[in-house]
Amino acid sequence: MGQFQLIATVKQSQGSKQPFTAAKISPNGQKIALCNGPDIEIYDIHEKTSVLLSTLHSRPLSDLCWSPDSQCVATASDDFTVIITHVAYGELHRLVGHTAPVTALKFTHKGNLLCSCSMDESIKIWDTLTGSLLRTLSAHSEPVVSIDIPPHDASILSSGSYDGLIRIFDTATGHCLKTLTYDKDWQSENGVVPISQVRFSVNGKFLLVKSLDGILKIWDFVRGKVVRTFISGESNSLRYTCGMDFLYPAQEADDPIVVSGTETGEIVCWDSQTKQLQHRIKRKHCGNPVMDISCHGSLMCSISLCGECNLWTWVDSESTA
Amino acid sequence: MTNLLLQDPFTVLKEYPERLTQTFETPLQTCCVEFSHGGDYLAMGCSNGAVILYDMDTAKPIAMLGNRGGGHVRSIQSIAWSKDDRYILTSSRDWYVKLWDLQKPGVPARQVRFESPVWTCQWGGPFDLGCIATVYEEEYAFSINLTPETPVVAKICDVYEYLGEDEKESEENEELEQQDFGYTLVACVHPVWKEILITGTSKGWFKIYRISDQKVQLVHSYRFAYSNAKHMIISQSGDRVAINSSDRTIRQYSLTANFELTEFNFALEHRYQDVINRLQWNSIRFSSNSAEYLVASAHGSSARDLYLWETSTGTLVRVLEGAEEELMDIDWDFNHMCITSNGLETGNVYVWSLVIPPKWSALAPDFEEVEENIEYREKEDEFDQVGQFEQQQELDQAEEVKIDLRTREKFDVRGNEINFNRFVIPLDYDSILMLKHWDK
Repeated sequence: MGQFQLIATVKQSQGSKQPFTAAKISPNGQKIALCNGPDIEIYDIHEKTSVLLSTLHSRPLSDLCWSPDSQCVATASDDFTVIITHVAYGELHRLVGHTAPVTALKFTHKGNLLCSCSMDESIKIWDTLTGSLLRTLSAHSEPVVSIDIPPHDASILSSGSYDGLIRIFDTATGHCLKTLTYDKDWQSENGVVPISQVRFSVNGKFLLVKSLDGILKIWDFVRGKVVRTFISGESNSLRYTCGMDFLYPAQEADDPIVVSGTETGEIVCWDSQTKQLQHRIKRKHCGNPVMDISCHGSLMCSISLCGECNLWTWVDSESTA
Repeated sequence: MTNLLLQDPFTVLKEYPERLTQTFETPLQTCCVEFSHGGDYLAMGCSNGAVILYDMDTAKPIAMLGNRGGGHVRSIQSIAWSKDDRYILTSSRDWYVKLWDLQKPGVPARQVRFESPVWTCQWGGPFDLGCIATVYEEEYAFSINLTPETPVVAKICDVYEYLGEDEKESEENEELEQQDFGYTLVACVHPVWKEILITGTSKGWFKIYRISDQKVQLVHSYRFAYSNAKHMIISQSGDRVAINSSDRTIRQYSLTANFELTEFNFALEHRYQDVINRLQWNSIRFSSNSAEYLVASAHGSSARDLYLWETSTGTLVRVLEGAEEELMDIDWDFNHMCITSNGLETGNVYVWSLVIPPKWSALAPDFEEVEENIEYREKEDEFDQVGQFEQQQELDQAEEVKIDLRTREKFDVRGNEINFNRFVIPLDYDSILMLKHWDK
């Protein structure tokens, strides 16, 4: 058993002026980038200071993604475009092509490709060196809200959509390789259950999927089987795409933790092996949906819709005792 | 490489590429090609000394070696990637061997000047960061220690080969001296026995050296032909050697040795010749692991294809067509199963790969693709009512199997190692910005 300890408050609640939707720890573990309206706020974890990096987006951001070298941040905006901003040099590319708000972004581990998905039901793959569109994958029939690429393998990409389907694509050809449906009969009583987030395990063999009924599942996507189910006990028709991530404790022997935010402002952690509830954080993000969870090493960053952003660290109960 | 697990297994497991899928029209005349070990990048050496690295994901150039000074100024002869894909060795007709660190590809990290053009340069030899080079009109190969700032070059020759006449005593050594092997043209470090170096000479000899600490020993020599060696390749498993010589023949040997690595034996397996046109072969390459296939490009303006033989039987199994000109150098990427070759006239680079058809049934789960219509027959248990309880129990059981989210797969389905992180060439932000301002 272990639990999270609060180590810093990155940002206080901003009231209800504008929604805050994403906060991500950089791959080198030194910074946190968060969406602040149409701009990016970069928080330095050691200095505990933040700077505002303005972008040329005309509408608020819905997601952002660090490049693997931690030098650039790509932002997805409601103005249908994606901008890649270098932290020191400023804007590198503005990627225009989507015909509806862009919902999520992901760089490959080599940093040479950027994938984006949008409310226009398509996924686009961009060349980050030239900023040109390489290919468009359209195989969903509702907004695509989440995409992910395994940490060491850019050959596949997974997407989750409001049409209730999780698809695995070949990044090189754009072909759909596999479709995971929600359970056996994916038409549940009240229609399909929209998928809200997908996330690969660090070895790229499993896929964590969250849907708008508040249930998380780990899929063995090659065989097409669900191997773990976690139920957060929320209402089964949620409105917000709340965040989730895997946390890998430093001890190799410790099982990875599934961390998930809820619409009621709680953060729930399960042991991925035993499905045991490890920790349920209630005292922060009071009542406000936890929109994004980002883990790096034993660090975890959470942000809620009102802008409250906290940085946590995972502590083993043995070391605290 | 998880995509291979989800594609059609019969296509994925094909052992050689089938169709021309990509042509790089490079602005410079390419004269040699080399894939990085992971297959992420393709290095093209050009006739003016430039080396351009292409990103295979985007099919665009990502870096150029020596664009900040210190590049080669004559045609590139060979390119070799280090095991982790971070370093590149190039040899050129401008008499230089250069080492490049891709963290800073703009300038060479080390360079060595010889007294004449350099034929080949390959990783290996007795040093941690070292290589073996063969040079024009030199009797012996050279080993280069690249660790010090100024690399140290040493001839690879047995003491007995090198000693003056009067110092020779035993008859055996005298015999050795009398034999004129000619110039060393090609050299390969054995992929399994790292201390063994095989060289090929201009008079048609194989020479096997054992290089240990401070000592070089000529352990075996074998005459394969009466003409000079052009290329030599050793299979990844180390038991098959092929040599392309200027007598228009590729000879394939099985190489065996005793346990102490003191005795070697070459057994001729096959000779590949073009019996009709008597063409020379430009370049040769083995497939991965135990080298079940051999691919070669033919010399002459009438030849425009790559020939692929099965090495166990020596039969021609495939002709890779599509290029409109004579093909020169060849490289084979085992990770993505593609073969590349450069054209002589245009300097374009061609890539042949597997074409994997889309699987439409992947789009709709529970659907199956069938070759022809099948008459529907109800299965015995198709409409059985399974109790909700039993169903739940089954699902619960599936969730008790241990899962491992951390450990990565060691090998892909084709048997290539994928367990370690290969070097990623950093994006050159300066040039992105420069191009952006250029546009404005």
